[in-house]
Amino acid sequence: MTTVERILPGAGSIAIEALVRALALAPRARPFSAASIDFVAALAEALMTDPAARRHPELMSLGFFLRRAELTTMARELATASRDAVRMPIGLVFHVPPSNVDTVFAYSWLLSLLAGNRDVVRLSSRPSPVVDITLGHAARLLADPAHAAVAARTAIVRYGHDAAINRALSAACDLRVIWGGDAAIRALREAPLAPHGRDLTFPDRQSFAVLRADAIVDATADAVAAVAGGLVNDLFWFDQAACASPRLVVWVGSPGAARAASVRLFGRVGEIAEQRGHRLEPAHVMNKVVFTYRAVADHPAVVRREQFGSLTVVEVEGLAAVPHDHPGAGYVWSTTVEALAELTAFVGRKHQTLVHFGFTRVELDAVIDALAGRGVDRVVPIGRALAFDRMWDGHDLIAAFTRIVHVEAGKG
Amino acid sequence: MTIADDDPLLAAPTFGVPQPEKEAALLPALIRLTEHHQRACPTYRRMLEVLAPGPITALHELPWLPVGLFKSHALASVPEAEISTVLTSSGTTGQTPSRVFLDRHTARRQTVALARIMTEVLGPRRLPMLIVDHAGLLQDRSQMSARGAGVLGMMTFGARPVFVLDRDMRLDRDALAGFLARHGNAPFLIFGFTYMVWQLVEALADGEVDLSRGILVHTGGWKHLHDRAVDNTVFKATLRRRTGLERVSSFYGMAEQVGSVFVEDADGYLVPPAFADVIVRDPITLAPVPTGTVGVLQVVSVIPTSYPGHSLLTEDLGVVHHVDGPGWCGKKLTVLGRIPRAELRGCSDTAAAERA
Repeated sequence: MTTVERILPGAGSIAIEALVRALALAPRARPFSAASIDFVAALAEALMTDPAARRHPELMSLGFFLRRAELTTMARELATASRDAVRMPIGLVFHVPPSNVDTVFAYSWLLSLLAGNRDVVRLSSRPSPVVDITLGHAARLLADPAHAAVAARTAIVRYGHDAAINRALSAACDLRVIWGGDAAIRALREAPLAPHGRDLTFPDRQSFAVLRADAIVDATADAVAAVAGGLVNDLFWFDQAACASPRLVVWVGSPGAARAASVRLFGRVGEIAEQRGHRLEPAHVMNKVVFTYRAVADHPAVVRREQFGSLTVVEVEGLAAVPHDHPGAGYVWSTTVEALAELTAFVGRKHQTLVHFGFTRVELDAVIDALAGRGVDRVVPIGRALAFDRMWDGHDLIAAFTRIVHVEAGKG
Repeated sequence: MTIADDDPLLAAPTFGVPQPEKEAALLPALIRLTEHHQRACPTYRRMLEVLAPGPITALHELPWLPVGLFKSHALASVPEAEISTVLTSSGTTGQTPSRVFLDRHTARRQTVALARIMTEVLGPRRLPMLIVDHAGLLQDRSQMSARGAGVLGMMTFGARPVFVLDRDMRLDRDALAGFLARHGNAPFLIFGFTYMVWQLVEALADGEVDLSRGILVHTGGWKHLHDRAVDNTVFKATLRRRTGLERVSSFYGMAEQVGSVFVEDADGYLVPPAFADVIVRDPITLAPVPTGTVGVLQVVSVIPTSYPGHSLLTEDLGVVHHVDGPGWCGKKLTVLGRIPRAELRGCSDTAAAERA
């Protein structure tokens, strides 16, 4: 008999058949039921007030995103969207979160829970204080009889290499959510879904920032500090290894302005990263050093390397010549273009987030229009690259976690 | 060739040049070598132009290459036709081996350098030599592993060598007993890689053999042994108890700078020879750190002329305890092992990819 380690609710080993059967028998819920909102809001509250959680800004973002007021707004939007296209839970959702961005499991699980689904979440075996803190609060809440209905709809599990478990969960689920890693997606797709089942996948993506050089040159020192502070979050959270972490900074302007803006902005980024305690591991430093030497040896377009504290900036001549690989841990490619329009030829399907500073909404709209769907799913101001939203990778997650019951009333 | 064979640095007392004089002699020689490699190796020139363009007025300002570059790039400062040997070394972490290109000139300088060092440890006579390895190691001399090159290099300093391990790396008791019957009552040389010597020690019972007249020279890093909680002190104490061996010298060196090995002195510190040196750098900022501070090791050597390996940033951590006397001159170093590995998080690294 094939078993998994169930972490929540309760803890212990459980046969996969028993787990699937229990979830099938769990009571049904509607999207944004009072029970779901109460549980998620209580978890958010617990995280926001836990001193241990406060040491992890990504947990504060999670707690803030799931605060009661926000949940109520989401609930109202869904309820009033359309009387003829009623949103209902999609059913049993099998979540496979990434091990690197350790809050994603919570966003995936909790948004699906709010949508009214029954959820199986397969956690990575990688140790993570962020996951442990979140699960600690969730365990305490789920043990409370007040949250028994939510507990019955939830199974957070771990299991090792076991194709039989992947097959059992894939066959049983209505939606399989695979968070990134092309390799992970390929591996899980070996396990067939039920005929009506579908996949929601988040493949490998890359992100970049587009900054107007003159806007940095002309900004006050305080404004530059604010932008730099935002960029520190974008560049240093999750070791710069999330798909939404910018790896490239494209300066728009004259070469002279770009040079001045680069020194001004990245200088502050280095200082603020230091102040916030974003210290690198020696192994990351060594990895970046070797990577940089190799990049210079292999790419004639690399013209300059500058170090701003923990941030390494490597300048490349020509957007098209920017290498695709990246070492993470505070490293950006940098290049300069004369106009935003030059992005059109560069952007491809792999590009996820465009982080911007110094452009008007009209200019940004023109970029999106010119791209015509070639790539880019998110356009966010500097500092917001890693701010999770229900809109992600081109999907509205609440929409993806529900299905539509189309109601046509008869005449008369 | 612009670097003369009659190098005064190679002729200087190997562990007898006080640090200030040594640095004064090394600096111009290493600047000349840097210029030579810039002229002769286009990849090296390109990397320096972009990454290390500043002036050089002190040893710590010499540009370095990260040692990992020899794994990914073929770096030579001589035409291909002049390359006589390609050293390969997988190191302890990587699967890709380093490739180090030697011409006859650099190979000869390595031999001379090693001879200068060995004379300090072993004296001028060639002693009978016990090799803690197997003879098959030396078969292909054009594609030599660093271990093979190390053994071959050391064999010039011993006489009538005997290998004490068989093809399966097990102790050949007959070979050992035969060697000791012939040479065990007078000074003899034992050479091996640290973890192989430890394997030998573990195969022996207390008092089973008498190595009390032996001089052990060993090298190759402590990683395997630290995993089993064996450090230099335990290593030496166990050798003494089991075999009576008291004269033990560890070496620190690498395939990328063969010849410039650092030798353990009477106080247990590693000391660079007159023609090489070490600079300790902060592991985060890579700025030089003062004596007594742990950091990443940069090693410099005047030996490599056929490849740009005269100034390398290693992936090893160490600390210089003090400089010059008592005893030998130079920096008194302890090597603490590799920089600890740190996992990078990455989007493609998911639970499924990791396990499925």
